[in-house]
Amino acid sequence: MNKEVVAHIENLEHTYSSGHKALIDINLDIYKQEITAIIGQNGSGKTTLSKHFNGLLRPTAGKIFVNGKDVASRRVSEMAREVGYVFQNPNYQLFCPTVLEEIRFGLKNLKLSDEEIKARSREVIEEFDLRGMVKKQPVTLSSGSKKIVALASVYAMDPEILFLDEPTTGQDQYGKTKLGLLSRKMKQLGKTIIIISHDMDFVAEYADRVIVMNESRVILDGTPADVFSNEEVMKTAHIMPPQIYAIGNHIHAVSSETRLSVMELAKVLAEGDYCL
Amino acid sequence: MSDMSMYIPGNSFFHKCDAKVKMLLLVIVSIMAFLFHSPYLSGFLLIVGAVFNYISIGNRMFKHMLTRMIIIMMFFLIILHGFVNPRGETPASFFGQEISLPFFGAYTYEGFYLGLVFWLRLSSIIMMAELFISTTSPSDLIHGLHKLGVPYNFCFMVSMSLQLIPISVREAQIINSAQRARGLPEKSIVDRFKGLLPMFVPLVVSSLERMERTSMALECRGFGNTNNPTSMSDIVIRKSDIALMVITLLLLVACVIIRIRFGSFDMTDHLTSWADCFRLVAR
Repeated sequence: MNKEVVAHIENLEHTYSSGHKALIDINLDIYKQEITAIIGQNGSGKTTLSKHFNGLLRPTAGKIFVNGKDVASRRVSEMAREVGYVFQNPNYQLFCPTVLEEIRFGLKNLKLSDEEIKARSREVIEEFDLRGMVKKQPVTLSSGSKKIVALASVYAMDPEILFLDEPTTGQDQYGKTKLGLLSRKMKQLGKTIIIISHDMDFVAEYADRVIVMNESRVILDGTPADVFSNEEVMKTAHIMPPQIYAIGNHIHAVSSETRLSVMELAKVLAEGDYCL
Repeated sequence: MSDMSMYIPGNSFFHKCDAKVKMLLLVIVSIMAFLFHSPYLSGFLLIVGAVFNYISIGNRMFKHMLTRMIIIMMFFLIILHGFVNPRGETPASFFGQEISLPFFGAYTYEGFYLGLVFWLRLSSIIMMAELFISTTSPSDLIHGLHKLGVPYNFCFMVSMSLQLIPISVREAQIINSAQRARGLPEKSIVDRFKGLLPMFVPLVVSSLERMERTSMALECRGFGNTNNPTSMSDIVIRKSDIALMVITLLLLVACVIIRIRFGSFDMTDHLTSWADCFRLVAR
């Protein structure tokens, strides 16, 4: 399959000033219009890796290219146009008196004209279904809504790549589903989404590609089905696949079926096409 | 400096010393530094402080923020006072030359002398504070304050605030990167000032929220049930601590007596050469 590469990482390494090697020999391509999930234990280097995409951290060795251009020579505020980053805690991001101004903050930073700003923000409010809360103060919103507003305010800047750092933490099922569907929608609108998450069910459901990190290295990279069926490697990274994959993996031991969704599993069981 | 409390763990004499004794030492040095208007006693205290620091924390004292501050102050105070001190009258000679600045006039002996005295006074106190800070763990400090009669709630508040500084610093860094990632301009100094509001609001909001969470968590764990909670460890005043206390107190008394009988050894009005600045009595 011929996929367009939006970000290319070459032998990337990052060593913190404390001497801790947070990234070792990372080689990756990120493809356009894909939802890529980066998973791994705490301290495995996920966030460190993601902060290299917009220059918040600079590589101590190796190179990273976004849209074919080397990130090293560019400022973070310049990169914001191309790489959006939604932080884990929306409280760190929201500061304006109203949701509308919050959305416009990034657009003003991009020095767009007033008409453009109005048009863009109207579009975003429409797409994220924020009409009811435009005049509200972001700080007073529920944590689910805060997350959506933070996401909307970054999305408004129309970046090619969007990072979501732990989008589902502290979210109820409704919030999670909403975020998942929004990710899909943004993908359809041409964005490349990268999710950093510990929520395996969310990753399994919405990601097109999963990258597993362990002890500063990428140890696995593939579709959710490929990754979650590789229980050996998952164990070394201390990751439990979602239960549906676990069942699938167990059945795989005695049947030829490898990739299972809930529906597929139900079908296989109903047809008795397995031997336990 | 990553550790904002500036405490350097160790096992030296001053590390084991009671916090109250060290506090007293700091107070006495602060009094003595301002007792005389001459560089000698405060200079002596600075050297003693430096030696104590070296014994306690070794080479790390040279990298300590407060040591750096003393060195920076030396340049500022001695150079600035030389030019701008209003009591300056006699222009100083640098190998027969006078140095003067437009608007401020010449570098004077009086200015140099006053700057030197002032610098030595401040730096001897800073040196002793460095000894105190780098050898007293925050919990010992709070414990000592409580023993001195400061209410427990207040002590606890102080220690909590000290612990919050590094947390807030880290939080500010995260917020800063969050806003930069949203394209916050960062080219000029004006941009940086504009960037303060997007930093400030989230920082205050999260601090207030954390305060509320912490206070609830504390109450849930029974904080405030008594004003005199028992403590895990008790500091004992050793004989050597008492000896240190007695020596410094005697030194203070001696200095006060000298001050009353012989005056402050102020040389400001008798300066005509560099050598005069270091004389104990006027010619």
